[in-house]
Amino acid sequence: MDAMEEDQPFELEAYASNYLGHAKVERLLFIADKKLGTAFGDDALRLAVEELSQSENTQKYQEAATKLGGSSINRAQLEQKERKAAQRHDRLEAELNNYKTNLIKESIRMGHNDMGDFFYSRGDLQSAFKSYVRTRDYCTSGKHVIQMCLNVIKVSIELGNYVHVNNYISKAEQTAEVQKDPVVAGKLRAAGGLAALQAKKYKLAARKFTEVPSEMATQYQDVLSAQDIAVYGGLCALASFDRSELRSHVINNVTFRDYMEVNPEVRELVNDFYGSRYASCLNHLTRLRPMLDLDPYIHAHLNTLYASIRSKALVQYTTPFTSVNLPTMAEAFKTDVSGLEKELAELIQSNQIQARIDSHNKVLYARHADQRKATFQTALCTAEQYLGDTKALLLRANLLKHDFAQKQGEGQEQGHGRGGRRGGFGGGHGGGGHMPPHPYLGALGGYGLINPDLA
Amino acid sequence: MNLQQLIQAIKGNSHSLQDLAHLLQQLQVSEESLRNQPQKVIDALSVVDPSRESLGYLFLLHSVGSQGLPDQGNAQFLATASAFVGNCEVDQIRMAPERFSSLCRQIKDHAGALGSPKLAILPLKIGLQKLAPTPEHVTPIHTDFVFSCLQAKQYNAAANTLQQTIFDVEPSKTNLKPTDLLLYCYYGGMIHIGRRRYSEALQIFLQGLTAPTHVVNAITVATYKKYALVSLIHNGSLMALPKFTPASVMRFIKAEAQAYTDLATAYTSKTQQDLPSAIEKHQGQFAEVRSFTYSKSRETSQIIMIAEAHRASPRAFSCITHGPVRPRLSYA
Repeated sequence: MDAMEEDQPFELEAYASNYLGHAKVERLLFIADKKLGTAFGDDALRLAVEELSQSENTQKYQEAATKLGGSSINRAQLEQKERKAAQRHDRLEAELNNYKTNLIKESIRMGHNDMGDFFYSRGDLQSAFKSYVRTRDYCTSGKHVIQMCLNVIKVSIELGNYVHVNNYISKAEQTAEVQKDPVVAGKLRAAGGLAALQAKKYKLAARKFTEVPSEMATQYQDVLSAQDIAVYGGLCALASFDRSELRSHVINNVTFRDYMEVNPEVRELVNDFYGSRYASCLNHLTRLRPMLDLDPYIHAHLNTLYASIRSKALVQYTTPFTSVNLPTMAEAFKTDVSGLEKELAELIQSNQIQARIDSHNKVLYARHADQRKATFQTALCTAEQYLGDTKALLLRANLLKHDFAQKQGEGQEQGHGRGGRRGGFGGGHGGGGHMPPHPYLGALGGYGLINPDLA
Repeated sequence: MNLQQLIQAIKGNSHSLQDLAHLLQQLQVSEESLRNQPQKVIDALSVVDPSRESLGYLFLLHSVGSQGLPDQGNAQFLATASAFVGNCEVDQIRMAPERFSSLCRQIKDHAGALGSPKLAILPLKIGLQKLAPTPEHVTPIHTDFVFSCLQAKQYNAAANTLQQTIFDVEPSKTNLKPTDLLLYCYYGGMIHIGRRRYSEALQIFLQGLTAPTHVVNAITVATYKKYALVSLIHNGSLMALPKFTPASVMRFIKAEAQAYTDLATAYTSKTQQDLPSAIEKHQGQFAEVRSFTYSKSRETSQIIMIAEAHRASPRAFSCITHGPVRPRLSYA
């Protein structure tokens, strides 16, 4: 069973059917790359080639088909597609020039848009991006702006240029129509979440993903599927939210719940974590891992997220107790005691747990800061420090009043008689120049209390 | 004027303020000649009354003392000077602060040369109280006093004086030089270390480090080194110097004090290898540190012990870092 699972982490066709167009192809190719040489990888590649043969993207089709073995390339069909594409390109350009001479805004906009669509289907992302951006000047209504933004966002995500993604998201969100259309709003949030994820801002990503309205579910399939939203949102939330946020944004969140229903594994994961069933939670994580490794957007972040979730689980486990028996805890986390001890020691050192470990008896003793006492102590400390600082300040002010600074060359006179307590007594290291008195006084500088013409 | 006339003048003019001012001038003029006849001056001392003719006595005594320090010190001089400091009249000696503080310095030197710096402690304490116009003034005598306490290892003797916050330096009244102030801060800090009062030590070291200055001198260097070590022991980390530290000091630290910054980073990073290797690397510099007073060597040995703890049991180390860092480990 394990060998088969290793070979076939999940049902490829079902996975692929969640996506459309470019997203499908990208993901399949990614899987094929990662699993190069295995049967699974070959399956993915085959599916990708199939999909590509339906599309206009001849270049990618050729690349993929060559990887597969090159035998299945339909040369004739390929050439025909190329010819048709060239024709279409010429036609679109001619039409666009026509519109430009006629100066009809709407037509120009549509012309550029069509060009963009054409380039996108051909796989020429840079030109597609340029064309879409060009439509910006001819957008007359909010709808146009949104359409343009969504197109640009889609292309930018594929290009990996998340700066543009963020820019155009904010542009789109400023348009009035966005509020009325939950699908569009959802798409924007999802894209925003993706951008945040790539920027390693997991908390922001979690927020965005959990705010995606459920109506959007399957409408964004050319970028993300509903399962993706669930998984990304769930993992980021577990890694970055604290308990109350987790409860309000994930567990009690009606809209997000719909997404979690689509991906029951994630739902179980979150519920287990919240319910402190750590062993099962970590199990879910391990089960999810093979599939997530093959996901182009999240595989790079898996280590960080998993480590974060694990340490959060450890911290959460120890919080309610004054003392914890390490073997029991190891049992709960399905790990061995020495490994657990090491992990806990690291957490203690990075100050995420306040505790001490009795290594001999294998017990963890928590130290709960007494809030009240701590506050009093802080207040006293601050007051003492203030007092000390003020006294020092007064002295320094006095030093400046008497121009008491050591000038160059003054040190020589004190050479003898001081004894061997310090070796060597250089007169100075050439400080040079007369410094303005203000920096020495800290707060007092600039109040005009000191006459700068003392020298 | 010759010595006899001078003595007459002293006897005659030590009563009213104007007379004293006049006398001061005469004394200042005659200083040179006094220096040339040490034996006669010593004889003259027995004629002059230290408690009422303090100004004159001061000058005479001072010229004796400035003859130079014999190797074994001069016990008699020390005794005379100490007695004088106890008996002198405050107003009169305040008229010649540089002579008075110089005299106190001579007391310190002689006591040190005689091998019992303890003898200087009490006279100097009285001296500084007399010279300072207010308790908040700091004088060069403060520096000498603290130095003597340090030399004599009588740390608690200096406690009261150090406790007193100083607000005023008035060079005209106290003849204080910048180096004196820096030394006061340095020695004061050392005393605090000896008494294990690390936070106070840090404060006074910081005072020395942030005193306005255009050049860096060896005192500041030494102060910084101690400051770094005490900061590590007391706080567990090396605090950055405040913004108003003079630029020359900051530059120096970046350039020369690399050993200590390394040690600080190694200490705070809590990795096993870094700390002992950082100490070994700068063994030479720290050896100089270790040759200092007993308390100093205690603190470096504390650091070494912590390094050992690192090696022995990293887990135990995580325990002690969250309590006060006193390595009372039992290597069970």
